[in-house]
Amino acid sequence: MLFSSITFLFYFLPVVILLYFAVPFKAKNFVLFLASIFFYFWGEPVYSLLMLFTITSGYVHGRLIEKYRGTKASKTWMISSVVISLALLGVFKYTDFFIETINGVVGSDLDPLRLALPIGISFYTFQTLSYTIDLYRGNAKVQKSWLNFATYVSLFPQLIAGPIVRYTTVADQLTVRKHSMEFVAQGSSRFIIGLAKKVLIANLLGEFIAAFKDSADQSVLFFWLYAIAISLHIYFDFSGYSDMAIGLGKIFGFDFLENFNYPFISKNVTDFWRRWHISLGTWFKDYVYIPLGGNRVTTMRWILNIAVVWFLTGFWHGAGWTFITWGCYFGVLLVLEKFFITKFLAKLPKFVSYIYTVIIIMMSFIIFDATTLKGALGTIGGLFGAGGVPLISQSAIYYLKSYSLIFVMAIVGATPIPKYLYNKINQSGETAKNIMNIVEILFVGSLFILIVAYLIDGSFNPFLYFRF
Amino acid sequence: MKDKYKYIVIVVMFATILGGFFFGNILAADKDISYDERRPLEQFPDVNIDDILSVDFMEDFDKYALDQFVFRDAWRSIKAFWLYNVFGQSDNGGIYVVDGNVSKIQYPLKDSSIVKGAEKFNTLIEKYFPNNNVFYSVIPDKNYYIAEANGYLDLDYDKMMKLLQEGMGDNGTYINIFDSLDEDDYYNTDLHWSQDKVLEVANTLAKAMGVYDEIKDVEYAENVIEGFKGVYGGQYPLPLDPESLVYLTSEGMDNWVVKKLDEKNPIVDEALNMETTTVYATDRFEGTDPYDVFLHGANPIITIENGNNPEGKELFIFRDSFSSSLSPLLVEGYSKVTLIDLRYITADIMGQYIDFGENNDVLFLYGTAVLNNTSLLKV
Repeated sequence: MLFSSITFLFYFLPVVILLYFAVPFKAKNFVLFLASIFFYFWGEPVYSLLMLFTITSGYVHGRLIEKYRGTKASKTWMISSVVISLALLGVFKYTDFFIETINGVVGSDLDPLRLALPIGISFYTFQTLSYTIDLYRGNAKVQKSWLNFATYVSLFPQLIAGPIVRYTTVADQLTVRKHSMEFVAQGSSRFIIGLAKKVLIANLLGEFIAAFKDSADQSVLFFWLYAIAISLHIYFDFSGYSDMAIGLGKIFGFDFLENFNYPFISKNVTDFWRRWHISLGTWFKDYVYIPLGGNRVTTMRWILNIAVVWFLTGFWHGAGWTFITWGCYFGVLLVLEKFFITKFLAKLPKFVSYIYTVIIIMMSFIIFDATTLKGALGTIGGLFGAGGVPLISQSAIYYLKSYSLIFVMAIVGATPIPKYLYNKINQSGETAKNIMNIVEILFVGSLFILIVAYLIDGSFNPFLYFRF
Repeated sequence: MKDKYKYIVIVVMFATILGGFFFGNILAADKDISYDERRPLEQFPDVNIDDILSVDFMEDFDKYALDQFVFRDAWRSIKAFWLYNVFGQSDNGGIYVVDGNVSKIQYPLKDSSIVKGAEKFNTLIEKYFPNNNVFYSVIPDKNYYIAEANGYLDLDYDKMMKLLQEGMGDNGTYINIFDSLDEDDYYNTDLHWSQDKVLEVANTLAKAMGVYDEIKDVEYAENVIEGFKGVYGGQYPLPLDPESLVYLTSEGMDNWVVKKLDEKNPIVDEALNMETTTVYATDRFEGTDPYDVFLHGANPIITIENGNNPEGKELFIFRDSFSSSLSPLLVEGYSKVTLIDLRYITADIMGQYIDFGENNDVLFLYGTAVLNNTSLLKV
């Protein structure tokens, strides 16, 4: 079930909110769990059992890790948990990739399994792993209630496209959490803002991208517009979803950590990955990079650690060579930045760093969006006129004109400028703050109405991160 | 406004919108058809285990929830108003308007479709019409006349014609009707031309096919139905001036016998099961596509036998919907006109049941939209 669907917004959500606030606190997790299972069942009836198995496996392993704490068995159960979780992820997400790779390398004719990818498996697997690993490390307390643990893993706001909420972030809130008018209002506003990012910006940029891909009238200008559009599209799609998840969490009394922090104002790639998909970046840092030794090792070992982490980051995003290339591309750049690029950029005016970073990011999203490496190289070549494409084409001019305001909104919206202006006005005096409160109400209400209008008459509405 | 009140208003607003439309959608009666969008609306899906496990039920419910949302047409208008006037976008799903004239972008040109179309025509010509006079013509969509001048994308018509003519080679004579039309010959709210504005097109075709003398003196009476709103009008959910649908009648039509294929029971006793009907179906004006007034809309095979010219040749038109209004203007030149729509019948079945004879005329007459999607033609 998509957040940006009529079914979710006007059938599922009202009923869940009503039930949630109608029952006493001790029944709230039960309502959330049932709602989450129904939410998942709506999109994946059969794989709901797989998720329940993952939940139960995580829960049982947690109890066993705690039971045998201080003995070797505790570690064995932690490893068992990791192996089972990763095995499920491997079977359902990566089997066909390996089969096709083997077929390609040795010329065999193995049949792919063609298993459908369970929605959100990459997210809920990583959440379950964070619990058992943190528990083993002593960073988390064992969860004795299966219902509470199941509520954590299956919590529908973040179930299928993140952010990857670690158990330690919400452990206390599973048993005690505060509900208030303020939280519900803030959560509702955040949800609507996220929905607007998805429906009014990402979807429209998606239409532009579809037009680019359909067009036989390519040009250098069109390629650059596409590169900008795909970068902003992925950002608004994913960060919009994260905003919705955080907003919904807040309505139900949960505090999820931020997942994005204006990544397009990064001054280099290292900075970018501190601002982009923060929950994934910190997950790999804490559960892969640091255990490998982090940067407190020899240079060669450090490079190896970086290679492993970024290979896995790419592979996590998808079972394909374009995703692996995408991850490795960042790994190489991070190493180069460490040794050369950062020092070089430091000698140049600041704006050069920003331009460098934006171009690097755009290239990365071209790779991310491509179905083949050859296609990605072709598109990157198109940016520089490879293949004799003209500088300007009729289609590029037409779509630039038609989508100019969307581009401007997206570019400005990807910077902290709107938030800065909002805070500036809010802090300029009591009267201004009171007026801004009224403006905020009108803005959020109008956005919601506009979103509904676009949903009802829209056709382009997929969520990119559902496939991960 | 204090923060405390802001929170209360936002929560009340959020709850009212969610709850209001939840109850509104449940309580409102479902509709069968959207007349504005010219299509049936999704109904509540059947509930069964198979459909639930296969997710068909959920997908159908999502469509149902979208289609049956309360005040659906008003929401579409809000979106269109915002898209055109605030976001400043040029088109809404391809629909654009120039001075009250609504059109839909046809873009880009699919070269392979044109080449494939020519191959299909050649296949038919070689198999069925070795001894007939073959002609072909292309009906420009109205973007040809209004798109480029107003900054909208359109097909590369020169390339389209070049590809088609190269593909056809010596199989048939091309008749150019691009110069016989202009933007005023099309309805403002529809993709089609107006019958009373295409007499020049009929004359151009008749001259090329050698029957101009038979049709040039036909006198027509104009019959007008007010309040016409075509398919583009429905897809453009903002106010538009209603138009008049004009259909032409002549005294000679009294001696015509019109038959169309009974689509529910098309073959009886190893022959096409044709039912007698009329040239115009004014009762279809209130349906989902009012242009169906002309020859009852889409049908695989329609014949018009002309009692005024029993010794004349026959004409076979391979056609799309444009010919529904044009073909009556050519009938007096022939003893019989047969309209064949290969989007709804396969060439093999057609060939089994229609005798094309010899020395008759065959006209391939398609609009650019069909030529750019010739996979629709069942050849």
